[in-house]
Amino acid sequence: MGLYKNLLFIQIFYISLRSSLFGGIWLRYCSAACRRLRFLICVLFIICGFKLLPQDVFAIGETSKFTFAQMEYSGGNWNPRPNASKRLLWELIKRTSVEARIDMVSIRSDNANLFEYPFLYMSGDQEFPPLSEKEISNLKLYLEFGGTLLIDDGIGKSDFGFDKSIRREVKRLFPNKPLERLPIDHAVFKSFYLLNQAYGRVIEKSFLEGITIGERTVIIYSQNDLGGAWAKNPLGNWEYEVIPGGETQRAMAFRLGINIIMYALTGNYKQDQVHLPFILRRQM
Amino acid sequence: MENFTQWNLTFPGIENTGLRLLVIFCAIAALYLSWLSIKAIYPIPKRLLLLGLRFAAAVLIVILLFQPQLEQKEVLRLKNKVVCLLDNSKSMALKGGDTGISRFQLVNNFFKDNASFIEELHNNFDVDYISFSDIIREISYGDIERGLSLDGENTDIAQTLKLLKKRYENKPVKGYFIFSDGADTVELPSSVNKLNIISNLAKDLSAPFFTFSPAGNMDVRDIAISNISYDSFTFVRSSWKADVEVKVFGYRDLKLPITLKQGNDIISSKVLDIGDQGEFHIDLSFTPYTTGTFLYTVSIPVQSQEAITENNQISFLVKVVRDKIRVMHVCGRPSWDERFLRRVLKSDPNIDLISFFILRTPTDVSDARNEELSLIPFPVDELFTQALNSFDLVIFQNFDYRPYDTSFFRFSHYLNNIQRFVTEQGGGFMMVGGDISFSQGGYDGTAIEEILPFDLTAERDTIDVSRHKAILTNDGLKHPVTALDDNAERNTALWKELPELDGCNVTTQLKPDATSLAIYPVHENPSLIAVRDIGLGRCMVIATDSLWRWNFLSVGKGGSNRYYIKFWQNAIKWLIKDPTLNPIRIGVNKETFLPHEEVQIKIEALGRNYQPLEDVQLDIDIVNEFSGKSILVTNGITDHDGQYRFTIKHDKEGYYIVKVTAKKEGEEIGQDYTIFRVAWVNKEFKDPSIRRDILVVLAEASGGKYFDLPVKSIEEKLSLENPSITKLVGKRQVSMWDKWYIFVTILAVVSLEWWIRKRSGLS
Repeated sequence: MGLYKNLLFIQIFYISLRSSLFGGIWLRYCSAACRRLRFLICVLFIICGFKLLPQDVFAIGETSKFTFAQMEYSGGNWNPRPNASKRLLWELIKRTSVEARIDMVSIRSDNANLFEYPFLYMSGDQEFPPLSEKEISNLKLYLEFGGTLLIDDGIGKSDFGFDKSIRREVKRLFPNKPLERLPIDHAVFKSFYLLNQAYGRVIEKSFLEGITIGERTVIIYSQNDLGGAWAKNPLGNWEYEVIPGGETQRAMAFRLGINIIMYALTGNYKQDQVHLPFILRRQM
Repeated sequence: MENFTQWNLTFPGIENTGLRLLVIFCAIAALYLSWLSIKAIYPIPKRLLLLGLRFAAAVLIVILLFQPQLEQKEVLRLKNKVVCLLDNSKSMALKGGDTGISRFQLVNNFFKDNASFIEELHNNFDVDYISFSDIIREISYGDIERGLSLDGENTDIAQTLKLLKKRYENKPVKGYFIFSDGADTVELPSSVNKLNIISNLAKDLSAPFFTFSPAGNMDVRDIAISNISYDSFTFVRSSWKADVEVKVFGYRDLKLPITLKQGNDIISSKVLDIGDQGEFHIDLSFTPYTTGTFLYTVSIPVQSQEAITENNQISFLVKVVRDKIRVMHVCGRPSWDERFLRRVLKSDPNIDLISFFILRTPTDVSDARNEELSLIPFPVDELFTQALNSFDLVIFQNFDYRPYDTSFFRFSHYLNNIQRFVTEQGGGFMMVGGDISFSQGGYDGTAIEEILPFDLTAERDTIDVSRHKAILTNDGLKHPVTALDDNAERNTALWKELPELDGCNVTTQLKPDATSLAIYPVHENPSLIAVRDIGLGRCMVIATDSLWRWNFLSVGKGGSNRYYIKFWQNAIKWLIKDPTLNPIRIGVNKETFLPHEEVQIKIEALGRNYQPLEDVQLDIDIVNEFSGKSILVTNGITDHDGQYRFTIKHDKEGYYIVKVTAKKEGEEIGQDYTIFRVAWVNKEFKDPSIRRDILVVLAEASGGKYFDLPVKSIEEKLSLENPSITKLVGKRQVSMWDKWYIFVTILAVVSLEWWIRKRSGLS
């Protein structure tokens, strides 16, 4: 929509340039230099048009698109893989019908705007102090009423650093619901790609953990540094080596990332009866 | 009957025969011994005199011991019974074939043709005349001559036999004459054999049955819908089937159209090729698309010379109810709006949801083989042809059909199906906005545009991405879709508190018959929510893909998501025409009434808040379903309970529709209808065949005989046992021994014998 709007704007400008602003006579007798100037103005306007108009206005409603919101928190390192989400979203847009914003949004969990983004990514590579009570209560409300939280351990070590802090905070969120291993027939493993284990930069755990409320898994926890597998620097090189599976494992990590986003967007859609015969046939 | 006197001599002194013989033997022995003692006495006359005296004494003593009595009996001679049973059910009035004679006329003729037999029967037997159908009634011979009233509504032979057993138990019935067509109307479960029951009951009566029924040439010409097996309630959009049993009598090689109608509309029909068969089972089926109680009629055209025309059609009521609300949710791309809507639909136990999300479009890059993907083919053909009618509601959410409008699957053809689904089958259709919805989804100029509340113009329709709150229109203030609270003021306030939406499909050309419920406050105030009744169905649009914000953002702002859920519940109820949204409800205490029976009708009026509404003016019209003639036009006003009750009585058989239109302060607030039936319970003409098999079984089981009417000289063809029967009406006993002269005579004889012996010097 943004592109169409820009082109429309340019067209209007061009017509007005030809008619009222500069006048037909002016154009008729205009020198080649003038025409070049006119062309230059147009080009400048196009550039300005792209720059001035909001980049993200190309679908109905900004928040209707999938936005990768990353959770900020105090202490620790809330963004150890700053280039991870962009690459994942690029792949998401390329491979699926999902409309997504390329740019990630960062937000604290006590921010009132948290509910604008029903998908929240939380990452880290070191221990962090406990979240505030407001952050916990707001996050809990968020999760209970429709939000999905993907937690990605950038270290990939159990009972250490980030993992230790995460398990502490999850316990504060849901004291009676511990993190549980997500079974292989969970919808997150078949929401787009058919997967049979969890992937990431490393394979600390071949499974995902999560907390499920009703029929919806509201927290998905990966200890395999998904962001590390997704991250690509501006020069187009992968930032981290993926071990032990190399590029195949990286490809699978992207698939898992897309599956998690699909799961957030479609829930248990792939558990519907209509899909079962197809999926079972392919899994055999 | 005649009286006569009977005398009997009895000996009550010694009743035992052995004892009697012993006494006589003793008397003889005593005489013999006596003889031995006197045989030497001379002269012989004296000896004989003594012997004579001793004999006389012995005889008198024996008489004394025997105590003889003379018994005088007054006796009445009785006649045996014969019972004549005459079938007075309505089927006996049927005229047979081309004879022009009714079945009962043949019975009458029997009595005339066999008058001498009847006279002899009356002379020799006590003859009872009884008419029967499902009850028995005593009549006289004169009633038959005068013409019996043939008004029995049902024929129940088993019940008649039971009543006979009760009436004639321990009575000397020597024969039953049954004159009937055997057309027993009792319907028994298929596991029960009616003939066995009748046979056993006949045996119990212990007398022969002589059965008479009209002969073969008396079979009527008739085509009868003798039975219909159907479910009296069914589910909307599910196939309903009736098994129609048709019996054909006296016709052959006909092609008969059999139709199933709802009102005057034919909804199913078949042609019946009857050949030379007599009984057929035909399945008629249809799929109801709206809930409610409806009158259906199965009919076959009346043929020439048909004996009964009433049995060529049968009407019945079927209640169409909703099982689960079947919703098809087609979503062009995964989004938050889709996610939150699906969550609402999935969590409602009354909704059976079938979702299809387009997860990948043809332009998306594929890095995996199909086996590595969980994607399934979009079963467009199955969904939009075969299965479409099984849904109550179809939702297109931000769905662009054009990628699927290929040469193989013409999706535009399926759009026509959806239009028919709504307009002709009463389905609901909803289009939810987005960047690939409405004109942006290519629906302008399609069959979908025809049902939408908007006219679409691709060149003009745009998308506005500014954030605003939805604003209710005047119509929206009152509409059940937008009623988030029962209280109108609170409802308005709630709408103001809902979070802002994140853009709108700008489509400004609202159709004249559509209703805009909410607008988006941007240039030209485009409709955000609009509804339209189209044909039999309903259509609704929500021109945004950010309605989910009413859910999640409301929670984030410390509110609740219940209004989002309530809005969708309202929308679905409205789209599927949920009867609970009807503010006027009419009910009758039962479905079928006898003529002149009181019909109790109750009308309830509810306000927008679904609370009883007082002072609602009700225009009531009761019309005959087939003739359309009103039998009652009246008015009423609801009381403080929002109710109005009244009763009527009607004498004419038929189906009647009670229609009510409710008005409050001059403005119509709703309508409703219900149906009731006035009918006699008459099964006599359902099957007009003569059931000779029943009468044959009855005769054979009881040891009697079956006869075809007409029959003459019946006396040569049957015989009845007629043993004599008497009845004691009086008795007198005369004692012959306890008399003084008997004792004196004994004493005199013994004394004389003793005196002679003394005079003769004997011991």
